[in-house]
Amino acid sequence: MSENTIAANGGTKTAAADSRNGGVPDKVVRKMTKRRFGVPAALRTPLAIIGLIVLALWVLVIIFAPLLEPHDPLDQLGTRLSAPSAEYWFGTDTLGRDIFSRVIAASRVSIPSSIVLVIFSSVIGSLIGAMAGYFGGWIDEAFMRVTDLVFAFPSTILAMVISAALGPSIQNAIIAVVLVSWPTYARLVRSLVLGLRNSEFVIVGRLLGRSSFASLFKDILPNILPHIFVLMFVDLGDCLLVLSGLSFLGLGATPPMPEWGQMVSEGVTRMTSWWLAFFPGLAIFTVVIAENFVGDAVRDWFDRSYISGNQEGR
Amino acid sequence: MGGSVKDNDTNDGKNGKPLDFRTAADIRSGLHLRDIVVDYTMGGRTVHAVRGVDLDVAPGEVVGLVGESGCGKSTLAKVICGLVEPVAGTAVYDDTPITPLKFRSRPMELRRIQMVFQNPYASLNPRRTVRSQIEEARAISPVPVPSVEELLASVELDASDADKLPHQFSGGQRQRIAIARAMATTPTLLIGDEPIASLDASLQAKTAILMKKAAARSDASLLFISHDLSIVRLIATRIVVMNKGLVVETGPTEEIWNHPREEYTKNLLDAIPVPDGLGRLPAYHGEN
Amino acid sequence: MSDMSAQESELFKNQGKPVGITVRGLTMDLYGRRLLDHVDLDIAPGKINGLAGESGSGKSLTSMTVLGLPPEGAKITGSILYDGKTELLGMKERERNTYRGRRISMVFQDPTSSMHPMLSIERQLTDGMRYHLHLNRKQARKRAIELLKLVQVPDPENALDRFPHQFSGGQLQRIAIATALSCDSRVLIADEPTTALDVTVQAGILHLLKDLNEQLGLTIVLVTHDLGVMSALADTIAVMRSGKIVEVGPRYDIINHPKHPYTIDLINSLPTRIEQRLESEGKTMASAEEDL
Repeated sequence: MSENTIAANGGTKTAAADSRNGGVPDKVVRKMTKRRFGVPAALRTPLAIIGLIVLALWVLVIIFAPLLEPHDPLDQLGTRLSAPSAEYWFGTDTLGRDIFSRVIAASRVSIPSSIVLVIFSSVIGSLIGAMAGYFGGWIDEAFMRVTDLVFAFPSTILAMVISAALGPSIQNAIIAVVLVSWPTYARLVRSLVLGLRNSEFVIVGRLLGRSSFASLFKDILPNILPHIFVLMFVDLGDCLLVLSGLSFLGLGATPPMPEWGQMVSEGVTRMTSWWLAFFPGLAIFTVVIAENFVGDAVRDWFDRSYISGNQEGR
Repeated sequence: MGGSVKDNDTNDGKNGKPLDFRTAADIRSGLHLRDIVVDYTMGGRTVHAVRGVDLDVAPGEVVGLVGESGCGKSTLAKVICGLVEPVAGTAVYDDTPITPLKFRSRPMELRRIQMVFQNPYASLNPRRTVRSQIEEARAISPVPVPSVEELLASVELDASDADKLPHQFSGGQRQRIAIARAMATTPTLLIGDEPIASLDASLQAKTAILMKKAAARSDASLLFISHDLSIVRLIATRIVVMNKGLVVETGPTEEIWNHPREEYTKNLLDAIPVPDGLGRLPAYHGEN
Repeated sequence: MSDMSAQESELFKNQGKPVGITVRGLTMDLYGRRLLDHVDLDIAPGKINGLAGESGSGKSLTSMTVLGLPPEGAKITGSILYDGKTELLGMKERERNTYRGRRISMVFQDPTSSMHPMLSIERQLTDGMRYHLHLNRKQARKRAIELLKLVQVPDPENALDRFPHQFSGGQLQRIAIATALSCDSRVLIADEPTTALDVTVQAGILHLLKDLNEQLGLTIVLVTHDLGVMSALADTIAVMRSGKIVEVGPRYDIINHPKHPYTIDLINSLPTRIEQRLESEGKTMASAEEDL
C-alpha cells in the first residue's frame, strides 16, 4: 500500500514522519486532516448530500411538526375529498381532514417507530449473533437454528401473522417487525465475531487477563460496531416500508392516528382521488431513498477507512 | 497513569496476604513441559501436531525453537500460553500448572507469560491507540513498570507515537509496539511465535536482537520460535530443533550450528543460502 | 538433479536464442503519487536478473508492469523493449495478450493462493496452452506431463488429475512454474518465489530455477528481498528503493562491495554480517548487547 515503508522502517524518525505524509511537514498535515475531519470523502458524493439534506429536512419536520401543520390533523374540516388547492395543499381525505397536516403529523409516528424498531432488532440480533459466534458449540447451534426458522418464512408475511396475532396497534407492529428482522443482525454479527475471535489482538487481550466476556465486549464488539451501524442505516428504510405495509393492511397504526402506510391504504380504494395515496406515498419514498443513499455512503466510508485501514477515507 | 513508575500495590491477594510474585531469577523454577501431546481434528481426521515433547526454559535463558512449517513449534507455544489444551502431558510454569484458557480470565501467575505473534497487522487492536493498549498491559504488571514513553523508547519509537493508531505504523514498527506491550507486563517468560517472519529481511535480525535485549533488561526468559536458524543463532543460547511433532535435537547454539548430530539438522543448515555473493546454491536433499 | 529431462523433451525444441527486455525511464503515477521514478533496468537474455528491495520499494510494481498488469488507472511513461525491438508499453491490449503469459510469464510468492483451489492441475496447466497454442485436449495433456517432468513433480500422470490442496507448498510452486512455462515463455518473472516456503524446500526451487535458466536459456527476473536467495541465484542485482533503482551491478560486487548507502544498510543487516562485525571487534553476542 505505502510506497514509503522502507523509509518508515529503517530511516530516522523525521524521515519516517515525512514519508508517511508524503514529505509534507507534520504541522501542515495535522491542520489538513483537522479541516477534513467530519466530512469524510465518501459522504461528499452528490447522492449522499441529497440524502443527508432530505433526512435533515425530515428531522426538522418532526421537531417542528405542530408549528408546520396548517390545520389540526384530526379535525374534520367539512370539505371531503377536495383536490389540492391553496387552502389544502395536499387536498383533504374522505373525512375532510387536511392531508398536508396529516402527512406532517404522521412523520412523528412513522420515522421514530422505524428508528426504535431498528435499534431493538440490532441490539437483540447483535447480542445473539455475538454469543453464537464467540462461544460456538451448542449455543451457536441453538441460536442459529432459531434464525434459520425465522429466515424460512417470508419476512413480511411472518410479520403480518405475528402482528395479527398480537392485535392491531403501532406498538404491536413494531414488535412484529423486530421479531422478523433481528436474524439479519445475528447472522452478520456472528460471522464478523467468528472472523475476529481468533485474531491475534483478541488473543493478546486474553493473555493480558480478559475473561471471554470482557474479550467479546472490549476487543471484538468495538471492532464490528461500524458494520452493525451501517446495516442499521440501510435497514431503516426497509423497516419503514414493512411498518407502513402493516399499517396499510390495517395491522399497524389504528385510526384516527395518522400513519403514512395507513393513509396510503385509505387512498388506494379511491383511485380517482389520487392525492389521498400519492402524498403519504411520496413521504415514504423520500425517507426510504434518502436513508438508502446515506446508508450506502456510510458503508463506503467504513469500507475505506476502517475495513481496509486506508487513511484516504477519513 | 503516565508516571514513570506504576503504583506498587502487592496487596490484592486473598485474606489480606500479599501475593508472592517472585521475580528474581534464582527463586523461579522456569518452564517445564513433559511429554506434551497435541492432536487436532480436521474434517474427521486426527492430525498429531505435537507427539510427546519435553521442553525446559530456565529463568533468564534464551531458547531458540526452530523447525519447518507444520513441525508443531507454534502449537507448543499455544500450549504454553494455555491457548491449546494438550491431550497428554504436563506443563508447569514456576510451579503453577498451566491450565487451558476457557471462559475465565487467565490466572495472575500465568499472566507472566506473554507472547509476541507473527502478524504485526493483526496483533494490535486497530481501533485503540498505542497508549491505551500499552497502558492496559502495564496495569497487570505486579512490579513497577516504566512509563509508556519509556517503553516505546526502549523499542526505538518516539514518545509522540503513543497517541497514534496502529494503522499509522509500518509492519516493523507495529511489531516493535507489540514487543513494548508485551514488556509492559514485565513478563518472566516472553514467547515470540515467528515474530520476524512477516518483516522485511533488513528488519529481521534487528527486531530479533531488540526482542532479546528487551527480555534481558527485565530478566525474562525468551522462547524465540522461528524457521530461520541463521537469525535464531544470533540471539539464542540454546537451540531446540523440532520436526514432525518431535524434538529432533537440542544443544548449545554453537554446537548445533557448527556440529549438528542429527541428519535433519544438518539438512536444515545446509539449505540456508549463504549471502557471500559467490552464487553457490544451497544443498538440496529433497523434501522431507 | 541434473538428469533434467529438458534435453530429451520435445518442449523447447523450436526455441531460438534467449530473449532480454530493456526497461528505460519507466515512470508510474497513481492518484498523484509517483510510484516508479525513471526505472532503467536491463533484463539480460539468458541470465538470472535479480531485483532486490523491501516491501513498498516498487520491485513488484516494476515486474507486474513488465508482465503487462500495471495497476488500474496508473499513468505510465517510458519504454519496455522486448528483445530489443518490440515496444510493450502502449501496445494494443489484443496484441499485448500474445506476450503476457505467452512470452513473459510470472510465478508468485504463495502457490496456494496463486492457484485456483477448485480446478484440477490439468485444467490449470493446460488452459494457457489451449488458448495460446491452440492445442487440443490430448496434445495439451501430453505437453502438461512433459512440463511436470521438467519441473520434477513425481508421478506426473496422477498429479494432473489432482487438486492444489493435495500437494505440498514446494510441489505446488513447481507446478506453478510449469504453468508459467506452458506456452514457451522466454522470460520468467519470479516474484518472491521461495519466501512462503521452508528453507529445505526453497533449496529445491532454487536448483530448479537455476537448471531451467541454464538448460533452456530461460531469462529469469528474480524479485526478492532475501539477499541470501539473491546471492545464491542471481547473476546481477538491481537494488530498488522508493520506486527508484539505487544501484545495479554483478552479484559479487553488490553483496561484497556495495556503494550506495542504502545497499550498504541492507547488506549490513544480514545475520552473517552482524556476526562478522562482532567477531572482527572481538566481541560475542552477549558482550556486544548494547552496541547493536
